[in-house]
Amino acid sequence: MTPQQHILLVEDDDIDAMTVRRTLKELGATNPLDRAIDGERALAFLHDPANPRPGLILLDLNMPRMNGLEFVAAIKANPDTRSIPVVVLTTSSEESDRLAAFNNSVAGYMVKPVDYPQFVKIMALIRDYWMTSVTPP
Amino acid sequence: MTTATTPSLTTPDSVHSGDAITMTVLDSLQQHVTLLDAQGNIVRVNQAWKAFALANGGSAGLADAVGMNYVEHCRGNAVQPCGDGDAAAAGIEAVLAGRLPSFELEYPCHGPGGLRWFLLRAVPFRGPGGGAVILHENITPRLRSDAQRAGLIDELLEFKAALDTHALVSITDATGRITYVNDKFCAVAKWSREELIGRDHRIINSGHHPKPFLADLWSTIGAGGVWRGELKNRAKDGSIYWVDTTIVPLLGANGGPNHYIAMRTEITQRKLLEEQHAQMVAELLAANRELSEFAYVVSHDLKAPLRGISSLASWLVSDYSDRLGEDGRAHLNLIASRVKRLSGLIDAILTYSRAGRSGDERLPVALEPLVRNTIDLLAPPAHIAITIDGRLPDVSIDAVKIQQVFQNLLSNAIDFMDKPDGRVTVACLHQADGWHFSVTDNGPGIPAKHFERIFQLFQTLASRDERERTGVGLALVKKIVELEGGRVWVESVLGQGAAFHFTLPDQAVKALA
Repeated sequence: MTPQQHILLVEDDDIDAMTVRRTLKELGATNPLDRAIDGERALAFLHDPANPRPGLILLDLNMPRMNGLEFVAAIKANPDTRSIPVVVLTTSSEESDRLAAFNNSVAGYMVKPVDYPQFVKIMALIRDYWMTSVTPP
Repeated sequence: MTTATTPSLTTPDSVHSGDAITMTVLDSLQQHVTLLDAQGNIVRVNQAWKAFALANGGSAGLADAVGMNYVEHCRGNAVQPCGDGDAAAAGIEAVLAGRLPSFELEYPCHGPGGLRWFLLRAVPFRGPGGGAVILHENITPRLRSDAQRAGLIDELLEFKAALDTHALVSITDATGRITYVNDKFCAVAKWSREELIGRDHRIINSGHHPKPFLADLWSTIGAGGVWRGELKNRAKDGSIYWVDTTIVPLLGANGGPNHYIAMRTEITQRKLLEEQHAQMVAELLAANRELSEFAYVVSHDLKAPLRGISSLASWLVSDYSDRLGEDGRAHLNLIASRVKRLSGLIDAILTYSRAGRSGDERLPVALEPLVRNTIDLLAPPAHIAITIDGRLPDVSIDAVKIQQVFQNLLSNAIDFMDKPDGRVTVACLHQADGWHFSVTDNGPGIPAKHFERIFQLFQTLASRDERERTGVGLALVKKIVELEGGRVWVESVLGQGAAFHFTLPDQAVKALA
C-alpha cells in the first residue's frame, strides 16, 4: 500500500472512529481516511465511481442496518471489490464471528483492546504490515 | 339321540341280505349293542358286546345271551360292580314301555382294564314288535379329554381374568369392526359395550397421530405382523388417555388376518409426566440459551462504550496534562483503572456464560502436558514450587474448559501465596466412580465460614482495590466441574494452606447420570 492510498473505516461508534483517526495520526500515517457508519453506506461508497478506491478496509462487525459480516460477504462476492484487503477491528472475540470472517477471506482479525495504548500498538502493527505489503492496484 | 341314527336291525326287502348288512355294520361298531324285544329279552348282540362280555369274565353268560331278560339281569346286582343296576333296569323299562323317548346313564365299571366309564343308552326299536336298542359306549377317553379341556379352560379363564385386570382388550374383525371389548376398555374409553360393538376404532381416535403413523399400523397388522406402540385416544367425554398397545393379528384359513386382538396398558399418567418433563426441558433450554445470548450481548455492548471512556480518559491525560493538575490526573487514572476492572469483569462474565454452552468438543485430553503447559503459562515466581504428584490421566473432556479449571485453581494458589517457600501440589486419584483431583497449597488458607461463598459468582474475600479479582474464577471452576457431573469443594486450615478438590466421573458413570 502506498502512503497516498485511502483507508476506508467502516465503524458506527464515533469515539472508536476518533480512536482510529488519532492513532493513525500518532503513527504518522499520511493515508487519507474515509469513514462509513454502517455496511450499507460503505457499499454505496465503494460503488460510487467518484469516490477513491481504498487500499485497505478497516471493518467493525457490530453495526446497525448492515453488519460487518454481511458487508464483507457482499464485497467478496463482487469482482470489482473482491481484491481490497479487509482487516476486521471488533469487540467480539466470539469463535463464530472469527470463523465467519475468515470464511469470507478477511486479511486479518483484531480484537479492539479497552486500553488505548494497547490499541495504538495493534494499529502500528496493521499499518507497518500493510505499508510494507504490496497490495493490489 | 333319535331313531334316525340308530342302526336298523332289519330291512323290509331282503331279510337275509339285509340282516347280513345290519350285522356287519353292528359288528363294526365299537359300542356294545344289543336288541331287546318288548319284554326286555335279548334278541341279538353285536361283536363288541360279545368281546366285552368275554373279556369281563364274570359276565361270560352275557356273551351269547340271546333269550336272557336284560332288564332282570340289570336289576339286582347282576351288573355290579358296574354302577347302579336298578337305575339302568328302570330306565330301560321306561323306554320299552314308551314312557321315555330315550334313556342315558353314565356309569363306572371296574373291569380287567381298570376303572372305565360307560354311557348306557336305550332307545326304542321302531320295528315290528317294538323293543329297544341298548348301547354301551366306553366314554373314558372322552371324559379324560373333557377333564383336560376343563383344566385348560380354567387356566385360560384365570389368564383372561388377570389380563382383564391389567389391560384394555378389544377384538376386531378383518374390516376393523369391534366385535369384543372388555370391561376395562369400556371403563377407560367411557363408552358402553353396546356403543362400541360394531363400530371401528375411529370412535376413540384422538386425531393426535399423523396419517402415516396410522397407515404404518394398518399395513403392519394387515400383513400379519404384530404392531406395538403408544397411542393417544379420546374417551367419550372428550378426555384424552394414552395406551401402550400391542395388536396381534390372528390369521385365517386364507393366510391373511381374519381378526385382531388389541391389548393396551394405560399410560396416561406417564405420558402426562413425560409431556410436562419435555415442556420443562424445552423451557429450560430456551431460558438457558437466552441467558447465554444475553450475557454475550450485554458483555459485547457494554465493552464498546467502555473503550470510548478509556480512550477519552487517556487522551485527556496526554493532551491536557498541564492543565489537569495532580488531582485531575489522579482522577483520570482512577477512571482508567475502573474501566480496566469493568472490562475484566465483562470478560469474566463472557467466559462464565460460555462455559455453559453446549456443542463443545469432548475429546480425550492428556492432562499431564495440559497441566504442565498451564503452569508454564502462569510463570510462577521463583519462591513458589508447583509439583505434580504422580501421573495425571487422560480424560474425555473439553480441553479449554479443563484448562480453565486448573488455571484458575493454580493462579489462585500462586496469587494468594504468603509463604517465602510456596509449595503447590497437583494430585489425582482414581476412585470407583471416576477421577479425584486436588490442588493443595501452603498459603494463607480460607476461613471455614467462607467455604461456600468463594464458589459464588462475583464473591471475593478481599476488596477489589486491595486485590484485583473478578470473583468469577472459582464460580467458573464450579460450573465447569458440575456440568461434567463432578463435584468441587475446599478443605483448609487457616494459616496453613488450602486444598481444592474436584471430581470428574468416568464416561460410563456420566452417561448414566
